[in-house]
Amino acid sequence: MILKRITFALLVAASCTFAASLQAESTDSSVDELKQQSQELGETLQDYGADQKDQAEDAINRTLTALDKRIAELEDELSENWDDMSNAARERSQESLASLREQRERVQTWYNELKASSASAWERAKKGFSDAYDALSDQWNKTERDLTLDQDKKAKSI
Amino acid sequence: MPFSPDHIAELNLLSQFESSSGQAGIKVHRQDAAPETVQAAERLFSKGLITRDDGGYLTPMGSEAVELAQKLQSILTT
Repeated sequence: MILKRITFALLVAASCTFAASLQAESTDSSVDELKQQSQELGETLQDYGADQKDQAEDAINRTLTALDKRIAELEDELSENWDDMSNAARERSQESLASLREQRERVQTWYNELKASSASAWERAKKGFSDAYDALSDQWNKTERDLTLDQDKKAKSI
Repeated sequence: MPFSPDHIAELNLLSQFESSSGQAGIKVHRQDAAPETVQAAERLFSKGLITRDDGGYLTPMGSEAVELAQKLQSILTT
């Protein structure tokens, strides 16, 4: 009877570990896909002319929506891990996320400018958006690293 | 119409941005910076040219202002 219970407990533990591993792999994979999507947007933006404004807006919308979703996930992860983090890690993560939100806001300002721009102002607005988007992309990668670093430390301490 | 000292301080602060793209932001440290620079940052923010009242990044309008300021400076120095 005891042996059965131990076996059952081991099976439950193993299946939980497997499920958690699958979840982590799934998140890693979607972040990688988003990184790829984000990089492609940065590269293809240069090719959009004023006559392709609608296409450019579609591509930007898709990527920014996915990025917003990821930022919300990072915020959730920070909340979930909050109790296990040191004060220094909390401060670093909060600052990193605050910078990310600031860059996101800046991109939105330039995106609004891009949407409202006339054909003659297109290149200038596109350049401004592109620079702001590159900065957002850099900050996003940094925030991913900052938060992953904290999670790795937590995992090692267990 | 002559440039006022306030305008000069604002132009000088705008010139601190590396380029009109505003790729890099700036921070005006209230404790260390000259009072006219601190106030210039606050005015530029309230006019919608920069993203924070202590620096930040250029907005689209700020970016245009820097471009124009650079052109003016180039004309005056040639």
